[in-house]
Amino acid sequence: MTQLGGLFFITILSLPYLILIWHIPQAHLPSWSEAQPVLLKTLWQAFLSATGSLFFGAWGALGLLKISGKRREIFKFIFMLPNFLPSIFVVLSVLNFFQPFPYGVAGIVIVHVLINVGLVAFILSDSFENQLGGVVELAMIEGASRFQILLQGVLPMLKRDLFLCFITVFSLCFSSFAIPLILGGPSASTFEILIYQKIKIMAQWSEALSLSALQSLVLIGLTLFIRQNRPIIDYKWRDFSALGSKTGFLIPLFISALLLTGPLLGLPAGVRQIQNLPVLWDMFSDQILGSLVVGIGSGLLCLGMLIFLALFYPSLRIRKILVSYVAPSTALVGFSLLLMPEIENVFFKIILGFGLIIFPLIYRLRWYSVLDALAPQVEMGALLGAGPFLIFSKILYPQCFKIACRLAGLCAFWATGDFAISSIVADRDISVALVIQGLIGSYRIESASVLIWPMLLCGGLCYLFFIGLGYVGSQKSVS
Amino acid sequence: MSEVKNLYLKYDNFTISIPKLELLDQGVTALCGPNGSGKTTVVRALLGLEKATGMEWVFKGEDLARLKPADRKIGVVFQGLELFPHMSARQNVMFAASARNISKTEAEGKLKELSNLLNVDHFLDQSVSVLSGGEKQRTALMRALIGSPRMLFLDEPFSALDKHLRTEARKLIKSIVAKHNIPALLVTHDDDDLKELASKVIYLDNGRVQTT
Amino acid sequence: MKKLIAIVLTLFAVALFYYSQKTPQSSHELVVYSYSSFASPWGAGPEIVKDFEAENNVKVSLVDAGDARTILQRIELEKHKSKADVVVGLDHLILNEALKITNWKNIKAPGINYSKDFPEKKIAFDKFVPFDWAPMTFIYREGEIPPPRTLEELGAINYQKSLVIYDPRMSTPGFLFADWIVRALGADKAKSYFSSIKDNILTITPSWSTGYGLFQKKQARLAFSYVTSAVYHWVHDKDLKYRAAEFRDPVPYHIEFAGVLSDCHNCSGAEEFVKFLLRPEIQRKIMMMNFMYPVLDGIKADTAFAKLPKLKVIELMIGPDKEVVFNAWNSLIQ
Repeated sequence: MTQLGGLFFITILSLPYLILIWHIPQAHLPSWSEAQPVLLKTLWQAFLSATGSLFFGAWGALGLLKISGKRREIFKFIFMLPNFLPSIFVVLSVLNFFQPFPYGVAGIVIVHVLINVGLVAFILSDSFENQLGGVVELAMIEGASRFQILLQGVLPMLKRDLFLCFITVFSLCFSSFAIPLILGGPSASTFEILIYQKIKIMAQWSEALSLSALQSLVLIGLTLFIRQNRPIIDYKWRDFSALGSKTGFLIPLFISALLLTGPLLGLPAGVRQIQNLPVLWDMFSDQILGSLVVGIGSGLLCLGMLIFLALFYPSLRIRKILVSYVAPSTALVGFSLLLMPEIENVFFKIILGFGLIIFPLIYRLRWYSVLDALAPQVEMGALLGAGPFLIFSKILYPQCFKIACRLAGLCAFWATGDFAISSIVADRDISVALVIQGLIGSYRIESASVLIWPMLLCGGLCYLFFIGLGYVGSQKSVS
Repeated sequence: MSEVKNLYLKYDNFTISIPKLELLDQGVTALCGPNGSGKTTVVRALLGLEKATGMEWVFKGEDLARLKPADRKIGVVFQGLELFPHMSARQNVMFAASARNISKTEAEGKLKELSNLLNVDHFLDQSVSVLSGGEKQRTALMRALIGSPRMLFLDEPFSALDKHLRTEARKLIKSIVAKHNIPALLVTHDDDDLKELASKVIYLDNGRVQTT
Repeated sequence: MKKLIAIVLTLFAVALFYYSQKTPQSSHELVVYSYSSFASPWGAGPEIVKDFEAENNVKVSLVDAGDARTILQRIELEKHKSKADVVVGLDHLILNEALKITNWKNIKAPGINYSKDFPEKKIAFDKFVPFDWAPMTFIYREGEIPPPRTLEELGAINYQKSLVIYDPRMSTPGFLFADWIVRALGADKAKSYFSSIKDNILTITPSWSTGYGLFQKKQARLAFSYVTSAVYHWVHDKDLKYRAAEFRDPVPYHIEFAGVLSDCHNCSGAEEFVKFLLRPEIQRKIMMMNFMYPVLDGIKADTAFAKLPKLKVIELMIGPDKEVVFNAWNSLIQ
């Protein structure tokens, strides 16, 4: 619809890069001999992690097809929980379970897969529901086995969705920081730590920016393999019994239960410890409110950005550029926000920073396909003479507002657990996540494990808020 | 006659090369040819959905090729129909009316007229996702006609219909074209369609006009 | 449902508006940048601030500005628009960088009666005043593993997969460990030393807090930490099993400093605050809440801190050669 809207949007997303480039006096490239071994290690673990996550996540998505209605939504949320926990608790849960733990690439991959299976299941279950119904029913009638349907129906039809999921998880694992270091054994190193080192130890901003750009280039390179196809949105109720998988359902459920044991085991000692911290209770309501503000604010920003894109409906070229766009390193985004003293409100900064980091992920994960699926209808609307606003209000909004709200809910969910951006930008413990980090940093890991639960609750409330907003805000189709 | 000139399109392994093409400005012009001959691409180019630089299309003294797709005011029924699945049949049609800034009263009047003609009253308020193939087709046709288009493009509109419905549909198109005096371009490879409807037939093969 | 959504959105807008209300900094306000564990509600910072405010009729804003390096970077990025008057928590490793990034006021600190074991009594600190310190060693649980006494013993087979240390690029304790090895053995021998203890390292974490958390959860049996870490467990966990290894080799140590920025808004208040940190009663609070040794003499006596092993310390090097340390470290991680 308008190129300008799309270009404006890309400019906003690139704000951290632009701010840092403005402030950095000279360009310096990092030494290739320093970057290369780290790059290869990081690529390898990210590739294995994404492959494993995709395999088990797709299996989990099939598991979600076994249940329907509101229960499916509840379980989608439960499957997502591991993605939300601070890495130390994930690590502790895993170390308790796997003994001896295989430190090294295997260890990194195992934990990355455990964390991301739920996310992949969450996203792919939507793709299965929206695009496969007719094919699955037909195959079932013709007597095809689940394996045949998967191999000859699901995989070819959802190639692009699967690949987009793969790239998303790959980018998450590529820029992963704590898990590769903690579980990678003595030889562990990641690309993100190299960037961090340049910023924090050497104060070599220019090289850090170059490394971040290199990181983005690698991920952009992957997106070049995304094929153009026309996904559909199927509105009919469909029978997925031929495809649903019981074990698929149990796998992410087991993983969520496993990873929640870490904070669970620490509860008794944590409760005792917290009783000796009365000061914690004095400020607790403030932190809960802070977490909710960060969550809802980030979700609203994400929702606004998704709807903005739907309103301006950029050309295919712009949409493809957006799918390849990768946010800069979290540390760089955080520090670029510090370069904006005009924005005094810390919450605005955190919401903006988090939104800029998360949005490319959300867009690639789902929104790109949603906009693509609606392209023929947009084209039809334009042919009929409708202007952008009519197309948006009558065609796009009713069909994608609910999905946008669900994605915004995901963003909100993640935001309430953020401490990466918050710890750089905030000037005090404004959220439960920051309090948890502070407790871990002062010997009080048991107390931290108690606070995980209110943090999860905040995330859950934010997520539910956006699901509710989706139901309320979307127009009901005529039945 | 409306005259199309210099319709050239190049893709990786396919070319459309039509130096001149004449379409009737009354009655039905049929565009036929084997699968992959470029029929739909020609339609998309005429609609403005494919960029054919250098193309001219003079229709009643106006070069439509210079206009944006919406401004060409062509009613179109694609093979896939592209109805808005979240809307009812009525809402699909009224959308097209509001897109053309037709007042609600006028639109309602036109809708009544078309629904009588196409016999759609019994499903007008149902969601299009539950309509049968024939019902969807009639809805798509109404949506294409409500804006009083200067021309009607029908890209294999009967492909999903059974023999009986096809016969009915052909009669419908014939009467609409006659009654509203709208020229139509019909893409088909059905001989009965050609026999029943076409006043002129253009045969396309491998991106080139073979015979007319 | 619609009403609920509307209520939530309204509350959100109100909360955001409330948090955006900022009173301008007045001359009766003092802004102190500090690191997270000092500034956190259970840290020493809020207590000290309360006492200072009561005595001096000034409002103190204690800002959690991350770790020491992040504080410096923040000041560098904020440039002359920085709100900070005082920085609490710079360590000796980054004082040179602090001097490069911005200007600091000379502080006329009173004659400090340093503790006998404070290693740097002889240095006249003019711009940065030390307020706490601690030697580093390995913390272990009695009965679980015999403590190492020398660097050589750390490579023994009975410590296989027992150690948790921290990446020196990310963590000050991590850097102190790596620097310790390089200075004790020399750069070349340090490389082979790192290779020799590789099998004994369970993992290298990005931060002290993550690594120590693994140790507390009994995933690791030895954690490189402050000698004073043991006291936390004695006092708060009532667990006397936690012990500090009594190294025969000289060990590294960590000193924390406070400084006043030249661009301070409330310079007199800032200087008073830094001097306030050296009051005996405040030193005691820092010791009991920060779990670090005080710099003043006579504070530790009759406390659990007096029961910690007395460790020999290496010579302080302000601004060590990072490249040498990282090069040696690379032999471990490659």
